[in-house]
Amino acid sequence: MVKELSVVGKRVPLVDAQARVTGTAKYTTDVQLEGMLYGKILKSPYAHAKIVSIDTSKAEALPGVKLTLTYRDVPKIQYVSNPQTVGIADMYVLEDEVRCVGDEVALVVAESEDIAREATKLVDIKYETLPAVFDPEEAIKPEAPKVHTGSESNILSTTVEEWGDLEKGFGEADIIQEDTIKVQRVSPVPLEPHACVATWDKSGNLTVWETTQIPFGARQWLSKILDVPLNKIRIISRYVGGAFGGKNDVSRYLFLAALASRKAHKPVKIVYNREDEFLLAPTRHPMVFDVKIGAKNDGAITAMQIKAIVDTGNIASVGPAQTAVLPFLGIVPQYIHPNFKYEGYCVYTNYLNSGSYRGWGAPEISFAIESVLSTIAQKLDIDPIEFRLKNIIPDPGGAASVSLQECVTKGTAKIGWYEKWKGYVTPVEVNGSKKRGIGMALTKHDYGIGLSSAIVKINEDGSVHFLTGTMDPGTGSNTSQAQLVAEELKVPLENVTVTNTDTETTPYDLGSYGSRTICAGGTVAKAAAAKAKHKLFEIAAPMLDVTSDALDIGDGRVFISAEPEKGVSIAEVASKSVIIGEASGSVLPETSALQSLGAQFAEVEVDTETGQVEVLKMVAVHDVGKAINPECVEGQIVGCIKQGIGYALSEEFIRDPETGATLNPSYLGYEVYSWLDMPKIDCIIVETTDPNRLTPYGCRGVGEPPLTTPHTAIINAIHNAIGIRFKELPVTPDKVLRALGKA
Amino acid sequence: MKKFKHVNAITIAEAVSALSGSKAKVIAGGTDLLSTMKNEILSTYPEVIVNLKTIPDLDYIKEEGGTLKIGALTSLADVAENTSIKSKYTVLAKAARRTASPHIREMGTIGGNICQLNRCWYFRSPNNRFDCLRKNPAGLCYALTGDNRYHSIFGAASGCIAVNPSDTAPALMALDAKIKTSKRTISIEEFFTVDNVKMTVLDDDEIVTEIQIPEPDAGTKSAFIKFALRKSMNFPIVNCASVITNGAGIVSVARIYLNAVYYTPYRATAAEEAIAGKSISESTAEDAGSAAVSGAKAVPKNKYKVQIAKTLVKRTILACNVMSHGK
Repeated sequence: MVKELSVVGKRVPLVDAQARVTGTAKYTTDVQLEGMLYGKILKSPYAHAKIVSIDTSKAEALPGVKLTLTYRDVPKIQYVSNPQTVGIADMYVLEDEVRCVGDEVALVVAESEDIAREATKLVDIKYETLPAVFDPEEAIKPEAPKVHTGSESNILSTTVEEWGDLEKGFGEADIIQEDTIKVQRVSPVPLEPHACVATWDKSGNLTVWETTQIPFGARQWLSKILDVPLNKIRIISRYVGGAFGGKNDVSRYLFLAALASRKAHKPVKIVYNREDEFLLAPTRHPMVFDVKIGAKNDGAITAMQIKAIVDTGNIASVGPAQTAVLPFLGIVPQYIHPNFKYEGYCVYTNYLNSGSYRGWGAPEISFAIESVLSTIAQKLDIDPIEFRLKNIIPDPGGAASVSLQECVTKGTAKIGWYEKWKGYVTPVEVNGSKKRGIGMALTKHDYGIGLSSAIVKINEDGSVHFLTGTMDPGTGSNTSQAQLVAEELKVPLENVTVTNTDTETTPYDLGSYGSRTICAGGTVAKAAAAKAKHKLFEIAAPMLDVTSDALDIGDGRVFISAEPEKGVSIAEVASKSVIIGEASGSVLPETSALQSLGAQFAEVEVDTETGQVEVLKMVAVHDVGKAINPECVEGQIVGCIKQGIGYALSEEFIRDPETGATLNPSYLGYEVYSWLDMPKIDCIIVETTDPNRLTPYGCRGVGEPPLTTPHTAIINAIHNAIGIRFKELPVTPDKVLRALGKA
Repeated sequence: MKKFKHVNAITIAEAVSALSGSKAKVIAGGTDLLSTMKNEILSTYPEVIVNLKTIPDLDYIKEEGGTLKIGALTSLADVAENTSIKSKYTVLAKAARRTASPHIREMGTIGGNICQLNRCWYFRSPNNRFDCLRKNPAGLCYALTGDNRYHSIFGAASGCIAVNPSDTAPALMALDAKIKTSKRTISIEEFFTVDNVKMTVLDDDEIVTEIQIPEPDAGTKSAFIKFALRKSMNFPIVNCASVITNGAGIVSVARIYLNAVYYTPYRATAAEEAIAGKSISESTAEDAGSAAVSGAKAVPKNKYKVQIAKTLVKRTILACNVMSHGK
């Protein structure tokens, strides 16, 4: 019998909405401790330099300054900023070599942030400047200056994947298209910048508040660098104001705060200002793709060759891992390509840190492949949708094919595709100098796997405590998981209190990234609630004179399934014994082809006299299996589209070509769109069920899939409007006018 | 930010006296000054800040004898929302409305908006990290050889290619405004007649107190268009203000100004001449647009701004054919 769901699938308000909107939610920046000191990071003015001497005496002499930390004061332990990266250790907490303008040089700690900032200017440093290289295509050359002095090459890792017979595949092709596609560095731009507060007690226990996606990873890294066991480190990350992957590294400031606090015997707080956030936080990797694809006249792909240069900036972070898996990300593996070769090079440059950012390589490589395929489809004059459906058959006749077809059908209807589309280079509408076009792209995305755990406690009055190691950066994951718990126990959502992300009280979680929270965290949340329910049944069974398998739960009662009027309240059962359900485990690697599939459609208007591109409308159709909270799903889709539009049209780091300094590290200079610039966005949720799925109600991650596509759909729409295919993002007015021969 | 003395002036005379003989700056809305102080981008850090907000009766919008008078402390939000300005001096209301963001329009004043410092990311880079020639005559213009996508398309002022970013200045110039200061009353044209790295002709101890705008003649129409990547917050990549008086379908007077294209607001004289004596049409407007940029000297990364400037001149002229205000 299918039971009706009472809270799963409902648009319930966020459990922490009131705290967040009334300002009572305590974010890391809100943490104020007695005697707290403030740290300010001194950043390098040079793109590449050796520190010859560093004299902090004048800074330390400034009234209010408590201490400074330089490379001489930190552990000589090498590590890598992302705990998931294995086999690489390429940085120290501080070093005597700086590798980009903005690189961390020293920390000054004072009674106020103002004093600390002033004191950073008093640190007397003599640098010996070294040659620098900013462009990954230059950095890869053997003669390029070495970003890490002493290393033999700037190539950090190389990955080659091949199958089939490339030569044979290209030989069979009727058409071969080759293009170089470039995508730029962009910032996640979280509203809440990086912030941490570290404090030690007299027994040597370290407590840290940090805005992080990986509290347990941060604990592990602090333990390693500071040589303190895990039980003496507590990381709290209760409220986080946006993360988007950018809080997925253990950044230097965390160690600096902990070291400074230990030295000063006082709490130390470090909060990035907006410039710090742009310059010190991880960003999306710039990538250069050389793509060559062969196809038959009917559109069937015969061969695909991809060379990728991945600019990891001055540190490794996740660069090598991302380079290794790029050809398996996003829509790329969904295209049938019997003959394939991928070469990926992860390259150091003297510029900012690349790291994790929502989508993690998928938006980058999907765009590269889709750009070339779009040109092939155009040259063969095959309808773009037909071309894609022909080449993307995840499971012929199976659930995934049905899902993708449904996404396309609903999306084309919503945007009016077939009424508007008049061919590749025929705009859908022309109003004087303004031309409109439509474009589309498909998405597929895996959700992250890995270890999660959860605890569900039932109090003696029947109310519920749910403890999760996952972090909610504003996605609503606390709420969605609480819905799963409430549903399992058939209690109202308001009876469930969520405690998240405190390594001392909440159980282990790998981290809130990779679209994994609702899948991995949700699976164990539901399982923990089921275990708690089972314990309730075991205790209630003798009370009702039945075996526990005869029982059911609902309306705050445990009752006999066959005789629902016979039962006891959960409170009564829970007061007989302590009820704790716990679950941990990894969601198994997906065996079903039915992953997060979707289709997006864009309508744009290009002003051919100013070069401005305006996105008029986006239609996003995503199959999420089951929307645990549809409003949270829509929030993820809208947020992804906003970032995708910025990626396509406006966002970039602008670097002075000579010095390597970032010229726009501010909200003013970095053109992140505001809501005024947003088009109408239609979100359509598709829910294709798959009995083989192990996640709660067959739900799939949706944090990243909608960001693998919007820029591709937009660039395709621009092509439709003006017949120009842009191969380099972002498509700013200067590029449009240049392409039109007007600049 | 360094320490400084803060003076709440009660009268203009007191403010002027506080400015004399010391490294002092006036503050009204502070939206520009505070960022220059926080980022320490001024060649001389102010030792005294003279607050004008404590001077009474400098915040007003009134019409007197055919002249609109705006007190220098009037907020940009008030200018944008004033009924009289919206109906008769549309170009100014629109320019004020398109400036910055709602918060900054509440803080920022019309007086400050026309006195603001230029925009250039080398000049504004925190802690004077570029030895910019605006601050040090022996320095360099880093924009000339660096990234100059937002810089001047009409050449340099004493070697500097930074631009004046004000949205209201070109509108006020197109309206032929006068600027009343603590010392004199001059045309806004003269106010911006500077040939070196100064932004305006103001002396160090001189304060803008009022802006005076003559009521437009009958048959006058105006338009303002700002081009930027975002619909809010941004400074213009290019903006354009046009005020055109028509008689019997023929343009009798045209005042057309561009900004963010030169170190001062730029009068598109050639465009004015091109459209004068003609009726406004797609082709005459197009010709005027082309004339406006005929003397352009783009630097490597900003050729696109020439095309945008040309387009905005054309579009503001065309808009003057349909938008109406005046007596």
